[in-house]
Amino acid sequence: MDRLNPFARPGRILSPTSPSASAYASASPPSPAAALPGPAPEAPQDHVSPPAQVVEDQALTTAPAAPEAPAPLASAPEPVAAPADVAPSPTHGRPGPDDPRLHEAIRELRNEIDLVGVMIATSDGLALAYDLPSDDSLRIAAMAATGLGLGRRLVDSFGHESFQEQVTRGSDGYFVVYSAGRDAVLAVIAPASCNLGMLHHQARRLATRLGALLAGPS
Amino acid sequence: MSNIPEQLSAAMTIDGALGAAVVDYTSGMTLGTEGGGTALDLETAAAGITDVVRAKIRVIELLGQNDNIEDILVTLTSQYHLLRPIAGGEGLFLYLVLSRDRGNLALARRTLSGIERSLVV
Repeated sequence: MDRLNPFARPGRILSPTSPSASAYASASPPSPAAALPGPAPEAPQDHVSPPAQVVEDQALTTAPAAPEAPAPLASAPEPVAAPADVAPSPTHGRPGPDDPRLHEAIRELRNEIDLVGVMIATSDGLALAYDLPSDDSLRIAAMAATGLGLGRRLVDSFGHESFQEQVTRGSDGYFVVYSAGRDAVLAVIAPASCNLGMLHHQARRLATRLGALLAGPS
Repeated sequence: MSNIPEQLSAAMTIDGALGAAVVDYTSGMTLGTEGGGTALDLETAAAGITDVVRAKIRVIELLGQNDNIEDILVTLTSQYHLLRPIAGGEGLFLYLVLSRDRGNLALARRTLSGIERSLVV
């Protein structure tokens, strides 16, 4: 699954309350003991070599992402480090956090409709690009992913095929979560005066586009 | 008991009717649609035309005119779009798309007015 997810990091953490770098650091890199179910340290010396090689390989594929902090999206224009065979270039292939194409998509949506904020995040709650009135991106990315997760579970349990969107209406505004392909979510915060029909029309199209963009070139 | 589907079916019997909807202009969402199809996406059309209705209602308030909109006509080269706010309907309007070739505007307005009065939401 992570093979197709360009944003996958070791130890997938969805933690709205403590999204600190240490949460990621503690989950990676995998310790040799944890990664090796079979041969225990007391195994004979001549059996250690091949498994040790396996450990090294895993460390190589996971290591590049490990030191990277999850939070500083604004200062991390580079795509998330991915295994070499799927490494995207900044303007072609799968976008990473703060990809200009994601920001362009947000601008387009905001030009069409009067909105309070927009968030594009991965399905596990990592913000990719956003335009919010307050510095709330971690929380909103996590809530968008939670909405997506809940929506998918609900749709699943009623046999309604695939999740599309979830509208939460407060007395003074909306929070709408749109599925954007398999690995991402588009969340929109809109005022109560919003034309929801028009928002659906624009945001559904955008979510479809984002889904294709984030799935990478076909 | 709501009779939106029945009234929309009645609206579709108007000569030249291509589509009809009851729309909530506070949200731009439809309460019911009839007709339309691939050539005319009524949900999107209703969401778009909602902004026209909102704008006109705002202008009347702004000018301090103590008056109500009876209907709004949008004329395209091949269609009429007739919008009729529902009196006492709390933010709803009737939306009728009419072919100019096959429809009769005067008749359509009269019929739509009757439908508005019979409509129970």
